[in-house]
Amino acid sequence: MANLKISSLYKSFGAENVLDGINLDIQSGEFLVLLGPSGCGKSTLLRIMAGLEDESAGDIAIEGKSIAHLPPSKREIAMVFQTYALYPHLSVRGNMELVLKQAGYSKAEIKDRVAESARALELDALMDRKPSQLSGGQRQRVAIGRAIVRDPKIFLFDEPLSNLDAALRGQVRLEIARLHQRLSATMVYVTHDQVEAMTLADRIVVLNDGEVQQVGTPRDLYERPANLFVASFIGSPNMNFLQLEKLSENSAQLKDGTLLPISNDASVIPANVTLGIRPSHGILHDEAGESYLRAEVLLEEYLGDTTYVHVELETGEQMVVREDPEITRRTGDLVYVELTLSGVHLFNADTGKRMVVSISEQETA
Amino acid sequence: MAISRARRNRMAELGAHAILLTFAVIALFPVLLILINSLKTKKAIFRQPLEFPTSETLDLVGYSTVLQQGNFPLYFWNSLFVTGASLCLILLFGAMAAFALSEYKFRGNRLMGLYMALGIMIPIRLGTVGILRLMVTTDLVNTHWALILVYIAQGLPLAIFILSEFMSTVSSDLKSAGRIDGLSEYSIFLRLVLPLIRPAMATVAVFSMIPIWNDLWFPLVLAPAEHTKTLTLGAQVFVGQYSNNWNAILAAMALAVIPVLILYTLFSRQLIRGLTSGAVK
Ligand SMILES: Nc1ncnc2c1ncn2[C@@H]1O[C@H](COP(=O)(O)OP(=O)(O)OP(=O)(O)O)[C@@H](O)[C@H]1O
Ligand SMILES: [Mg+2]
Repeated sequence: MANLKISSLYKSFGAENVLDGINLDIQSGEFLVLLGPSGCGKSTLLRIMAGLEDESAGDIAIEGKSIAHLPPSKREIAMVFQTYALYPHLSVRGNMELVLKQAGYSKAEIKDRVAESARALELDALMDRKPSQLSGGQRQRVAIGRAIVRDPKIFLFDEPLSNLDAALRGQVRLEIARLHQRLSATMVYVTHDQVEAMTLADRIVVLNDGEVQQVGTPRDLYERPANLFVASFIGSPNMNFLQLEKLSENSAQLKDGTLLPISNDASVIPANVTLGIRPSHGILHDEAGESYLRAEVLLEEYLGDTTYVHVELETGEQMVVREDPEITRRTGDLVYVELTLSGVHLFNADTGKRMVVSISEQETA
Repeated sequence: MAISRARRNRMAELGAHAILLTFAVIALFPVLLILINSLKTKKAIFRQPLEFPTSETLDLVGYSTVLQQGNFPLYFWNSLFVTGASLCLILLFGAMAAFALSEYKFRGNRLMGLYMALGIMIPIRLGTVGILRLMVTTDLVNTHWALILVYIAQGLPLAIFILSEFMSTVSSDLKSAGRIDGLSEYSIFLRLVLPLIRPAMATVAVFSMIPIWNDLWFPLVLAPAEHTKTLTLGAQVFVGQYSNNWNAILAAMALAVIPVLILYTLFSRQLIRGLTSGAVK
C-alpha cells in the first residue's frame, strides 16, 4: 500500500518521443488502468516505473520518496508480464521462492510466505511442477503468486490476460479483482482491452501518442470524454461522429439542416464542431418527426440481446444505432433517427476538446 | 482412406530413411576403411583394402607401434587438454560477448558485432607470422597456452555470431522478471539465459571442436616440442619422406577418432534435449 507520483516524465528512443510529459498521481490502494492503443507507450511507462528502463527526464516517487535512481529489485514493486516470464528450469515453488531468497529471508519465513500465497491462489497441488507442465491460466496464476509473495508496495501488470483465451480471461480477471479487494494494494494495470479497463479500474488513464488524454473513473470517461480521441476509443461500438453545419448559442445545425435545441459553454464558438452520439442514444422511427434525421438502413447486426443498425444519412455520413432485437430492418429501408439530446456531445473539431453541452430551455424551431 | 494414408506415410518414411542411410554410408565409409585397415598387415592393406581382416591378415602391429613408439599417451593428453580448454573458453567468452551484444544498448554495439563477425571471413592462418612473433616475444612458444589462445581467437567469431542470434530470442520479459526479483546481471546470464540456449551452445561446441582437434598447422608452428605435441602432429612421425608406416598411421587415426566421437555424442544429446519449452507463452 503506497501512493505513487509521476512528474513530467519524458522518454525518447533516439529521436522518437515515446512519452511526452506524463503526470500521474496514483492513490494508495487504487486500481489504476493504463489504457491506450498499441504503441502508445503503456509498456514503456510501466517499465520505467519498474526501473527496467531509464527515463529521459522526470521523476517517480513512492510515498514522496524518489525511486528514480533505484534498481528494479530495490523499488519494492512486483510485475506480472504478458508472457508470464516464469523461470523455466525452476518448479512453481522455486519460482515463488527465488525473490525471497534473493532478498535474504529466513528459510522458515520463505516457507510461510510461499505457502500462504499458494493457498490464496489455489496453487498447492501444482507446487512441484515445472512451468512447462502448466496450462496458460495456471502459469498466469503462478506469475501472480510470484508477485504477491514479496508483499510489494505496488503491483504492475502488463497485459496479463492477453495470452489467455476468452473464457479464461474472464476468470483470471475476476481473480485479479478479488486479489485487489483482499490485499487492497496499489495496482497499475496496462491493457488495450476496454472491457478489462472498465471492469477492473478505479480510475483509467487514457494514453495516446505518449500523452495522457484523460484520467477518470470509467463512468467519467464514458459519459464525459475529454476529447475526440477518448470519445472514439471508449465504448463499443464506437461513438458516432457527425459534422455540424453551424453552431449557435442555443442550437446546433447538422449538415442536412436539422436543428437541435442544445446550447454550449463556448465563449467563442469554434468554426468546426463535431457532434458525437453513442449508438445507444439514437432511436429509430418509421415516421418523420421534428429534428429527426432521414436515413437509409445499410446493415443490421443481430447480437441476441441487442441489434446494431448501420444507417447512412442523407449527407452521406454513417451512423450505428442500437435497437431492440425484436425489430428487424432490411437493407434499403427508410428510417428516421432521433438523437437523444442528453446523449449529445460536442467537440471542437480543430483541437478535439470537449465542449460542455446543455439542452436549450427555449426550443428553436 | 485412413489405412492408405498411413501406408503412404510409411512409404514416405521409408524413402526418407533410404536417403539418410545412403548419406550415412557415404560419410562413414572412409572411417570404416581406416578402422578395418588399421587392423590388417601392411600387405593386406594394399592387396585387399576393402576386405575385413581375416585370421591371416589380422595384425595389430599398427597399434603396438603407436602405443610403444613415442609419447602417444602424452600427445593424446595434449590434444585433449588443448581442445577441451579452448572449447570451454570459447563457449564462456563467446556467450558472454553475445549476451552483452544482444542485451545491452551501447554506443558502437552494431559496429562491435560486425567487427566480431569479420573473423568468420578472414582465416586466422593468414596471421601466422604475426602470431608466431607474438608468441615468441611473450615466451609462449611450445606451451599449451600458445595453442589455446590462438584457438580461442579462431573460434570466437562464429561462436559470438551464432550465440547472439539465439540470445536475442530469449524472452526479454524473463530477464526483466529476473531483474525485478533481484538477480544480478551475472545470475541472469548464467541462470536464466544460458540454460535456455543450451542447444546453441552444443552447436557451437561441435562446430568449434573438430577444426581444433584436427589442426596440424598451429601445433607445427607454435608448439612442435615433444612435450606439447598434439596427436595430429605426433602421427606425422610415421609419415616419412620415402615411405610411410601405414599401419601406424591408420592406427593413430583410428585412435584419434575416439575422443571426438565421445564428445560429439555428449553434445548431440544436449542438442536434442536442451530445448526447455513452455517457459514463455
Ligand atoms: N527498446 C526500444 N527501442 C526503440 N523503440 C522502442 C523500444 N521500446 C519501445 N519502443 C517504441 O516505443 C513505442 C511505445 O512502445 P510500448 O511498448 O510502450 O507500446 P505499448 O503501448 O505497450 O503497445 P502494446 O499495446 O502493443 O504493447 C513504440 O512505438 C515502440 O516502437
Ligand atoms: Mg505493451
